[in-house]
Amino acid sequence: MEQSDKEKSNVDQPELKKSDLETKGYRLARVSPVFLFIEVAKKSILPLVVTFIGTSGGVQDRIFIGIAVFFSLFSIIQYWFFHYWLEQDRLVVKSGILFKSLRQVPYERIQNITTERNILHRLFNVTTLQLESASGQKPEALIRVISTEQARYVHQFIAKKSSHVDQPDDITVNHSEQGPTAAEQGALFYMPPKQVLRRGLISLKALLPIGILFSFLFQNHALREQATAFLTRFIGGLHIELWHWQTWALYGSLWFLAAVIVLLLISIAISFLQFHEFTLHKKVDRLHIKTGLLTNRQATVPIKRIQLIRIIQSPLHKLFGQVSIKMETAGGVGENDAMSMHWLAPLMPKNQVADFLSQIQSDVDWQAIDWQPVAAKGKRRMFKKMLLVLLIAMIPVAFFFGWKALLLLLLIPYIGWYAGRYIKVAGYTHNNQLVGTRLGVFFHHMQFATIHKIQNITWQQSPFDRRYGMARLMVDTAGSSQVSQPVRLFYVYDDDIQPIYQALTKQVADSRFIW
Amino acid sequence: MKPLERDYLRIIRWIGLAVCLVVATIPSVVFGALWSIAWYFATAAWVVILAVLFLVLNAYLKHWYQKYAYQLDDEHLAIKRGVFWRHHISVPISRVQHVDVNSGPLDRRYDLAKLVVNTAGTHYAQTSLPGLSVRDAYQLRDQLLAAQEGDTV
Repeated sequence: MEQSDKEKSNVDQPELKKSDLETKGYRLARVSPVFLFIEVAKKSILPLVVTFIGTSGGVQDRIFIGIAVFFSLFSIIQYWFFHYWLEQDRLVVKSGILFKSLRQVPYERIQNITTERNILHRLFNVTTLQLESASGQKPEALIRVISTEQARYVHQFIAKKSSHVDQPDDITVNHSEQGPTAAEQGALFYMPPKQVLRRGLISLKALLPIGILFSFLFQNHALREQATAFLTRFIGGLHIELWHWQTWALYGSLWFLAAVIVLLLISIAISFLQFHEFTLHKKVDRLHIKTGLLTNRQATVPIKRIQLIRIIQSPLHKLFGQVSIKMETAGGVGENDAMSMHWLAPLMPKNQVADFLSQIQSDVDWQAIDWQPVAAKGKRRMFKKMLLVLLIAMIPVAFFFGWKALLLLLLIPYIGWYAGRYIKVAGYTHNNQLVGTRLGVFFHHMQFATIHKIQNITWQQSPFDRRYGMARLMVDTAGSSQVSQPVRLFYVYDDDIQPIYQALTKQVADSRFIW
Repeated sequence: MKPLERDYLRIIRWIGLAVCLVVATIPSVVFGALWSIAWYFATAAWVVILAVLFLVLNAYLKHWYQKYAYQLDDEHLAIKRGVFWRHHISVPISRVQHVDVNSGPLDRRYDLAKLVVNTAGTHYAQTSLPGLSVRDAYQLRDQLLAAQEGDTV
C-alpha cells in the first residue's frame, strides 16, 4: 500500500524532492549522536550523581556506571537506525534497533511544531524538531537534530500541507540581529531583562539543587570530611573549639550572607537561561512564544487548545506586585517535557493580567470576574481539621520527647490565624464563560477553566460537609497532569453549589468541545 | 432517575460475603495459632465475627444499592451514588470520547453488564456505571454514541 502511495505521489506532486520518497528517507545530521548522548546524560544524570556521591565507591558503583555507559552507547546507535521521510499526506518515521517502529503521522494531525536551538545547536547549525498532535501525552515525532536548512524545509513542507501549522518565521534565521526593541514590536507580551532578573529573584530556582547538594554533604560522612578539609586549606585553620559566641555569630552571618548571594546569582542565571527575551505574539488564533538565552525555544500554541489558565503568586511575587501565568494545553505533551511551552507569562505585573488575558481569550470577559467568598463556617472546620493533625503529630513527639510535646500546642493561635486567612482568601467564580477558584494563604493559586473546555462535573458531599450543610464541586479538564489539582470548589454551602452544578451541566452540555 | 438492576445487589452481596469470609478467617487463624486457643472457641469467634461483619456490610450494601441511580437525557448522563460520601456525576454527551461495555463472570451469570464512559478529562476521565442489564447497557452505549455522530475530533 505504501508502494502505491508513493507512485501516486510521484505523479501528481512534482514539488517533492526525489529523496523524499525513498524508503530509506532522510537520516539525522552527522552530529546527532552528540545531542542524543546529551539527552540521555540529562535523563540519567541524577541516578549517576546519586550512585557517585551516595555510595562508598565499591564494585557496585562500577556496575552502575557500566550500565549507564551501555545505555548511552545503545541510544547513540539509535542514530544509525533513525530514518524519516515525507510522503504525500504523511510524515513517516522509522526507528528502533530490536523493536522496529514505523510511525506514520498524517500532516493534518500535526497541530504544532516546536523547534529548539541552543548554543550547541548553533555551533553545528542544526535544529531539534518536535511534532505534536492533539492527542496523547507523547510528541508524535521527535527529530533530534537535523540541519537547520532541512528543518526549515520540513517545517515549510508540513505547513503547506497542514491547516494547523504556520510557515516558520524568518526570525529563526537571523535571530542574532534582532534587537530587543524589534522583538518588542507587536508582541502581546515581552519580558525585558529587568523582569527576567526579577523572575530570578522571585522564583529562587536554585534553592532545590543547592538543597539537594547540602543534604548529600550532611549525609555522606567521607564527603563532609573532604569538604571541611578543602575549606580549611582555603581559609586556614578555623580552630572552631576556641570560638566565642561573637565569632560564631560573625562567621555564621557571613556564611549565611554568602550563601544567599550565591543562591540569588544562580537563580538569576537560571532565569536568564530560561526566559531571556520571552516574547509572546498573537497571530489570529495562535500564540507564538519565543524564549531562552542559550537555548532558543519557539513554540506555537493554538489558543483553542488552552484548557486551563493558572495564575500563581508567591509571597515574593507579592512583594514585587507580580504574578506568573501558566497554561495547560490539551493533548500536547506532559508537563515534564522540557520542549513544550507551559508559560503564558513567567512574570507580569498584577494589574496587567486582566488586559493580557482578555487579549488572548477575547471571548471571555476577564475584567468582570467577581469572586464569591466561601462559607464563613469553613473557618471552624479548617481549624478543627488542623488541630486534629497537630494532635496526631504530637503522639510520636510525645513518645520521644515526653512533656515537651505540649510545646506544640503553642501553635494553636497560628492555626487559628491560618484557618481564618485561608477561608478569607478562598473564593470561587462562575459566570457563563468560565469557572474559577482562588486558594492559598501564602502561595495564591487561581485556576480558570472555560465552559467549553470542561469534560465532566462532579458534585460531592462528605459526611462532614453534610454536617455543615456544605458540598464541593469538581470540574475536570483535559491535558492536565495527574499531580496538579483540578478546579475544585469546596467549603461552599450546598445551597450555593447546587445552582452552579445545575447551571454548569446545562452550559457544558450546550457547548461544543473543540480540541 | 433509574435504579440499578435488582440482581446487581445479589452480586455485590456475594462479593461482600467472600470478603467477609477472608477478613473473618485471618484473625481466627492468627490468634488461634498464636495463643493456641481451643478450636471450638476459635470457631465460635469466627462465626460471630463473620455474622457481625456480614450483617453490617449487608445493611451498607443495601443502602448503597438504593442510593445508586442514573439517568440519561439528551444532554448528559447523570449518576448519583454514595451513602456517606455522596457523588453526583454529570458527563455531558458532547464530551464522551468512547464507551466500553464490560461483563465479568458474575455479571454474565445474571445477564448484567458495566458501562464505562470515557471523556478527555484527566482526573475523572472514566465514569463507570455497573449493574445494568446487557440490553440497557448496549442501548445506553448506542444512545451516547449516536449523539456523537458527525462530531469530528
